[in-house]
Order: sequence, then structure tokens, then C-alpha cells
Amino acid sequence: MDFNYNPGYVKALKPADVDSLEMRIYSNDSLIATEYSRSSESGGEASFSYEDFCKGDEHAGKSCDFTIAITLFCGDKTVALPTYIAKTKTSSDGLFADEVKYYIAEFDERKVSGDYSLETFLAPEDAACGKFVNYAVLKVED
Amino acid sequence: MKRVAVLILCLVAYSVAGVLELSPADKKFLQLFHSYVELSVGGVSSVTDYKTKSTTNYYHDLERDEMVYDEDLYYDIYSYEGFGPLFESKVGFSVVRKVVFFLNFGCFWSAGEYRYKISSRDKEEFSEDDARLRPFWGIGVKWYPGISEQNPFNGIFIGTNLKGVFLSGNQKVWEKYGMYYWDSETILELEIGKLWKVSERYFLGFSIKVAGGFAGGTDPVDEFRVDAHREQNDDDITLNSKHIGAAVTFVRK
Repeated sequence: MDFNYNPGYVKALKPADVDSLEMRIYSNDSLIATEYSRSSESGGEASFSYEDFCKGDEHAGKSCDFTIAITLFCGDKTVALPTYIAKTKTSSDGLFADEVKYYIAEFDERKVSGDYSLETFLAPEDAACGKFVNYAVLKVED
Repeated sequence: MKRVAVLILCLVAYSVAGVLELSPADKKFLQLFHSYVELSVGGVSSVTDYKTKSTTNYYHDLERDEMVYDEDLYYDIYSYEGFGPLFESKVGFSVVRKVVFFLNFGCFWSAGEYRYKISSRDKEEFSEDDARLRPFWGIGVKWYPGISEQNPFNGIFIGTNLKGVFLSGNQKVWEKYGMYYWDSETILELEIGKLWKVSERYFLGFSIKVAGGFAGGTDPVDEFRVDAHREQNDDDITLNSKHIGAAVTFVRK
């Protein structure tokens, strides 16, 4: 057993100008988790861990992809963001999934520390709640 | 064999007797080490430029509310141009009066206009006039190529030193603008000058100094965080400051 194993995760933090955020995780077109962010304070993020969904003999050595669908709520409006596919893989023995970590939040490079890469922006087509042009998927490298 | 040993003993005795017969002035001159003290008073003109290269190259244009890609994007731009007085002392020793090894310490002031810009694409720029004290200490070496009065290079010296400089104002930069830079800098200085003899051990002259300063950005932040200041890459450690100065130099050696 690798005690240093730190399973991958997806965390999404709602933009400051919306009331709440819903993050749905799909695997093979099946909804496997729904998480919420209702606060912009630290710890108020919607968080999902691969650990329980990407382990076991049936996943051994195979890719294990998750589709992330985020919806924003502001007043009585609901805005869906473009989906993002998080790709990960399980070890050959099926015990561990890749430690792939994603953080989804409004991006300001001056306020982000650590090792990461910018994957893409998830600005919504419907700007009813705001444009959120800097709402980005960051892949955490450390 | 016995004769050879006696001959060597005689030669040694002769040599020792020869040294003992030297005049005090000659003995002093032949000493390997001499103490060395130098004081300089002058001024220094500085140009500093700190900036952090963007790693993603995306800039949030707030006016258009668009993300703009810019290959040449920089953040946290902090620059200064100005002039201030310089005080420096050097204490050490010289080897056969030609090569001097020293510790130096002193301070200079950077008085002038300090300018700040959050991003290289921003139109808005902040500026303020300030005078900031820069204490320093370091080590160095100096070479006097000619030490006799007949030598055309007599009194001329060249030298170099490496000094650590405390940048007191960088804390203000963090507090006011969220720009985090180290509050110290390493400066490599080259110096050239000329001295004229005042008395046997005292000299007066001038020196011209040219220097470049290198500083990094932030302390390393190991873990990923989105609520902190960004970590600056090692690649960003560049030539941040350039200095040129002149001073009246007083030496005892």
C-alpha cells in the first residue's frame, strides 16, 4: 500500500458574483456525483475525489475519464458552463488512480501560487449572470 | 657531506644577518601583509527594474472584459530612476602592497521617482517620490598594478566586490500594490580609480564604480493556492538594477 497516495480531485469555486455553483460529475454518461459551492470563502468549493470511482480490477490500466458540468445560479437565473473532460488513468493493479488534480475558479495569475498549468477557460455562452471570461480550469502539477 | 652542511649553515646565517641589517623602511616595505583602510564619499545613480514574466500569458482586459493572450506579458512592474549620496568603507589587508582583500560596508540612498504598474498591458501607472536607504556589506579584492613612483600606473587601482544590499522599500511595494519582491539584492561592482600620496601611508584620490544588481522574487511557495500571491520562477532572477557612481577616496595602507 502506498501511504503517500493522494487521489486526484476536481474542485470548483463559485465566481464572486453568483449565488451558488453546482458541479455535476459524469462517468460513461452516468451522473456519479453532484457537489455545490455556496461560499467564496476558503473551503467553500465544490469538491469531488476520483478515489472511489476509479479503482478496482475493472479499471486496472484503463483510462478513467470524468465529464465536469458546472451550472451557476444568480437570483432566478441558471447558466450552464461548457463541460470539461478530466482525463485520468488507473494503475495496472487497479489500486490507484492518477493523482490528477483540477482546480476551477476565476483566474488571476497574480494570486495563484504553486505549480500548475492553465487548461482552458469555461466562459458561459449565456452571460445572464455575467461573462466570467476568466473562469478557468487549472491543472495542479504538484 | 659534512662540508656541504656547514656551507648551507653559513649561507643561512648570512641571509639572516643580511635581513637584520636592513633599514626599518626597507623592512616595512618587504612585509608581506599590511593593514588597509579606505573611506569613500560620493554619489550613485541607479536604475532599477523589477517585473515578473507571466507563465500563462493571459491578461484580463477589464475594459473589454476579455481574456487577451500576450506572449510578452509581465506583471508587478516596479521601476526606479534616481540619484543619492554614497558612503562606503573598506577594511582589510594588502599583500605586498599590490593586492588588497577587504570587507566593505556602507550605505547609499535611492532618491527619486518610483513607478508601479500591475501589468505590462495596463495603462494605469502609479508613481511616488521617495528616498530609500540601502545599507550594504560585502567582500572584495583590489589590485594596485604599480607601487613605485617611477611606475606609470602608480596610484591607479582596479577592483571588484560582491555586496548584499537591503532594499527597505520593497515592503512598501507589497503593502501598497501586492507586488512581492525580496527585500535584498546582490550587487556585483567594478571599480577603477587613482590615488595620490599624501604621506607615507595616506593617500587621497577618486574612484568610479559601475555595478549590477540581481534579485529574485518571492520565497518559494510549495503548495498550490489560489488565494495567495503568485510564486516567481527562478528564471525571473535577472539583472534588476544598474548603478554608476563616483566618490572621493581616502586610503591608509
